[in-house]
Amino acid sequence: MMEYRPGEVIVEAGSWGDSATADILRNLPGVPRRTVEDAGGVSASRDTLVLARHRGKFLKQCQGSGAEMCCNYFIASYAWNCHFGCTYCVLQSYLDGSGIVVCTNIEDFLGDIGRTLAESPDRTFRIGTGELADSLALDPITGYSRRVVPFFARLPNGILELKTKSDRVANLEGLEHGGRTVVSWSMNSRRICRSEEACAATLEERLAAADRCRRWGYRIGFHFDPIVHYEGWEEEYREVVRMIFSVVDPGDVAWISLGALRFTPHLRERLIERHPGSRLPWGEFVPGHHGKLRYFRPVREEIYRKMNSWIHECAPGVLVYLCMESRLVWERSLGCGVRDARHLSDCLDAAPLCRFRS
Amino acid sequence: MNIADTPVRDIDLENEECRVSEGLEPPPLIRSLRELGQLNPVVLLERGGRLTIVCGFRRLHATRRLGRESVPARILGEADFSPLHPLEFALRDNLATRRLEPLERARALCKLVETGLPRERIVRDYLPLLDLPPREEALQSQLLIDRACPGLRRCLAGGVLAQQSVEALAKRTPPLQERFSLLVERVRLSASLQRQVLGLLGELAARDGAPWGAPLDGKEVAAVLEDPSLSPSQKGERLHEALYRLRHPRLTRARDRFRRRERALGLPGSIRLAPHPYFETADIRVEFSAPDAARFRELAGELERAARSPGLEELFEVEGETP
Ligand code: SF4
Repeated sequence: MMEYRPGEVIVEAGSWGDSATADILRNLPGVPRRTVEDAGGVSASRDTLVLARHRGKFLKQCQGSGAEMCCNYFIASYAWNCHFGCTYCVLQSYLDGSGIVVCTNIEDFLGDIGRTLAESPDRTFRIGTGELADSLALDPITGYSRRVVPFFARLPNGILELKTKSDRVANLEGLEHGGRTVVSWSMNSRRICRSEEACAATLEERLAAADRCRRWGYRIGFHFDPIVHYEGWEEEYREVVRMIFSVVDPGDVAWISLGALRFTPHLRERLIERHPGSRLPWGEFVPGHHGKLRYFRPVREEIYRKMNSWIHECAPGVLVYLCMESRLVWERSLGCGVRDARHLSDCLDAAPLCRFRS
Repeated sequence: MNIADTPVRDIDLENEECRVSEGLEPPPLIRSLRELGQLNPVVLLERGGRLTIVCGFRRLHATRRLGRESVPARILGEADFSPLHPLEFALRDNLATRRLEPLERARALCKLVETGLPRERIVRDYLPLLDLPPREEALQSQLLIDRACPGLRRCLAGGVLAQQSVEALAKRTPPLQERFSLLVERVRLSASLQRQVLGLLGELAARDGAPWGAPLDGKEVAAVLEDPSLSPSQKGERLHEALYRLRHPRLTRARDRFRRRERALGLPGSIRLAPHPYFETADIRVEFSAPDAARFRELAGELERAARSPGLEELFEVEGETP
C-alpha cells in the first residue's frame, strides 16, 4: 500500500487553534508548511495536505436516499479526497485539484453527530466516514479513529462504519468500541485490485488487517464495489469470497454489499483520458438512474445472483445487500429475503450488534 | 508602389507560400475574366529577383488558363508588408471580400504557423477573424483538418462530412481516412450519425483491442453496403445499427427478442407495446388510439385475446434472466 506522505501542508489560519492541527503536524516532521487565510480557494494536487476548518453540517444522508431500496445510510466526512487514486474513483470528478483536505475541528464533527442523534433517540443512524475519503488511509497521520470510535461506543443509537482499502488499523487496537464500529473493506478481484486500485493495500493486506480487527472484537464488513464484468470474472471474484472466509468467521461479518460498476458519463470520459489502459469503460453499459451508466440489468442480476450464492456457500446466514438497486433487481437476484427498504434498514441496523453464528 | 503589366512567365506560380484559396480555377472567375478582363491587379512580392504571388492566386491561374501572357500587378518588396508577414496580408485581403471555406481556413492557419508567427498571436488575432474561438484546441483542430487526406478534403468541401468528423478522422492513418471517405460517398450519414458512427468505431476498437475501423471489414457492414434495395440514407442508418449491435450485443438481442415475441402475440399494428428502452424495469407501455367506440372495443378485444396468450409471460422476460 502506498503510504501518504504529503510534499506540503497548507494550514488554514483558523485551524491553528484546533488541537488536531498540532497532532497532525507532529506526525509529519520535516514536511514544509504554510498558512493561508482561507483554504477554500486552494488549488493543489493530492500531494498537498490541507488542514482546514469545516463550516456547516458534517452529517448528510447518502446520495442513494430516496431510491426504491435505499439502505438509509448517513455519511459524515472529516476528510475529503484520497491519495490511492483508484481509476474509477468518483472523487476525481469533483475533488480534483483541491488537495487532500482534513478538517481540524473534529470536536465540531463529533458535536454535530451527537446532537443529531440525540434529537432522534428512537432512530438508529448508520454512519460511514468513507464516502468522500478512505476512512483509515490517513489515520496514521490524523489519529481520528481514536477519537471517533470511543465516541460512538457511547452513543445508544449510532453505528459507525469505517470503510477502507488500506491496512492502517493500528490505531483501532485497544479502543473501547462497544460493538458500535464496523470496520469494512472494499474488495475486488485480484486483477482489478492490481490494475485499478494499484496504490491501495493488496487483497492479502486488507484481509490481514480485517483479521486483526476481528481479533480486537470489531464486526467486519465487506463491499464488493465496483464489481467489474469481464471474461473470467466469476472465478476471480469467487476466489476472493473464499479468501475472505478463510480468514474471517461468518459470525464476525456484519454485512457484505454488492455493487456493479457504474459511473457518470463524465467520469467515464475522464477514466478513458487518464487511464487509457483501463478495461473498465468498455463493458456493455446503458444509461440508468440519474444518467449514470451501468451494466445492462440482466448482467447485473447475474453478477449479484452468483456472488450471493458464492457468499452463502461459505457463510449461509451473512447479510448480503445491494447498493442502489431497484426492488426488481433485488428480487430477481437475491430473492425476497429483504422485504422492502425499511426492512433492509432494520436488518443493517441490527447486524453489527447481534453476533451471528452460521 | 507600382502597378505594371507583368509577364506571367516571370511569376513563380509554384510558390504557394501565401495561397489561401482552395480551388484555383473556379469557372465563374474564368468567365468573368474572359468577359470583363482583370479589374483588380494581383499583388506580387519581389524577393531576390523573383516574383511570387501574395494575392490573386485564382486570378493568375485563370489568366494562364485563358492563354493570356501578362497580368496587371502591384509589385511590393518585403518591407512594404511590414510589420505583417506577406501571408497575413494575403489572408486579410481575402477576408475583406469573402468568408473562407473550411479547408481554406485550415490551410491559412497552418501556413501562419509555418511562418513562425507566435501561436498565442495566431490564437488571439486570427482565430476570431476566422470565426473560430480563440483557443489553442481550436487551432489544433484546424491543423488536423489541413493534414486530412484528399478524400476527406473532398468530402468536407462537398458537405458530405462535417468538420468535426474530418477532424476526428484526420487523426487516423491516411489509408483509413481514404477508406472512410470512400465509405461516406456510398452511404449518407447526417452530422449526428457521423458522430455516432465514429464514436462506435472508437469504442469497438478500444473494447476489442482491434485496429480502429476493423468492423468496417466485417460481414455485418458488408451486408449493408451490398444491399441494392437500400438508399444511401437507409444504408447510413443500417450502418449505424450494425455497429450499435456490435457494441451493445446483449441489449440489441433483448430488443430483437422483444419484437419477435410481440409479433407472436399477433396484435394489430395500431397497438404499440413499448418496453423500457434499456429494460431497466420490467414495465411494458401499451398504446393505441381509436377514433370511435367501435374501434376502441375492437382493439380492447385484441388486447384481451393477447392477455390469454401463453406467449404474454415471455414478453416480460429479458434475455439472460434466469428467474
Ligand atoms: S480508496 Fe476509495 S476514496 Fe480512495 S481513490 Fe479508491 S475509490 Fe476513491
